[in-house]
Amino acid sequence: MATILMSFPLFWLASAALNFLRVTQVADVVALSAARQLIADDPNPCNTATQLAELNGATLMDCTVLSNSVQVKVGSALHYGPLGFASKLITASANAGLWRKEGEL
Amino acid sequence: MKSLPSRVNHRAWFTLDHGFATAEFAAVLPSLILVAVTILQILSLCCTQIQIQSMSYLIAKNVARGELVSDLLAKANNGGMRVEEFRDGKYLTVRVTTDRALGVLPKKFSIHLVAETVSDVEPHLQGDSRGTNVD
Repeated sequence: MATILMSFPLFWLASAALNFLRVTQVADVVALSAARQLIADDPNPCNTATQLAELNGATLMDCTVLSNSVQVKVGSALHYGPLGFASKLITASANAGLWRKEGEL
Repeated sequence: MKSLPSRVNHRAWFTLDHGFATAEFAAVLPSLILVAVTILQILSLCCTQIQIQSMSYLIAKNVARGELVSDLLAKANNGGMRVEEFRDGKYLTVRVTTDRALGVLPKKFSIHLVAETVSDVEPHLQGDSRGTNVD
């Protein structure tokens, strides 16, 4: 019984850590993809970003297209219990685009 | 003036429980070991899942950009991971799987861990449709 009781919070912590890592990585992939579309002169790179976030099991919460970069915010719900009655949204942001070093043409 | 307790008194204090504490500890010890092993197994599973998740992400990101992933694949193979790659149009899915044994239990009780990352491929690489196992 003690093992089961101690396992639940540990499972939850492990799940939270994994989910956070996953959301961060999905945000990176989505931002890179959106930036790729922006460079390829796609008028709306956020469409691809939305699709890609969904394919990775997350939700695109915000997508801002700047002059030569894209900023995205991706979220994923973490359920507290097996019944799923309570959940917390884990979010991560990422930027991708063309950056030039200072002094570079 | 209060005198220090004698050696005999010390011995009497230690033998007061008549071995009950030792017996109780012996009874509780298997449970403590079970809890410790469970915690270690959960942490170990979590670490493995983080490893395969990071591996799938890195491979997907690098393959989508047309970069070489041979070193990553070698690392995955050394760690007993299986890497599969599927391409569907402009999307690339990298799936990394591994089986993790639970302590001293037989292999059939091992846990199958899966991590998947979907990325889109650069336009000049989209024609290269392999859809195969890359390990």
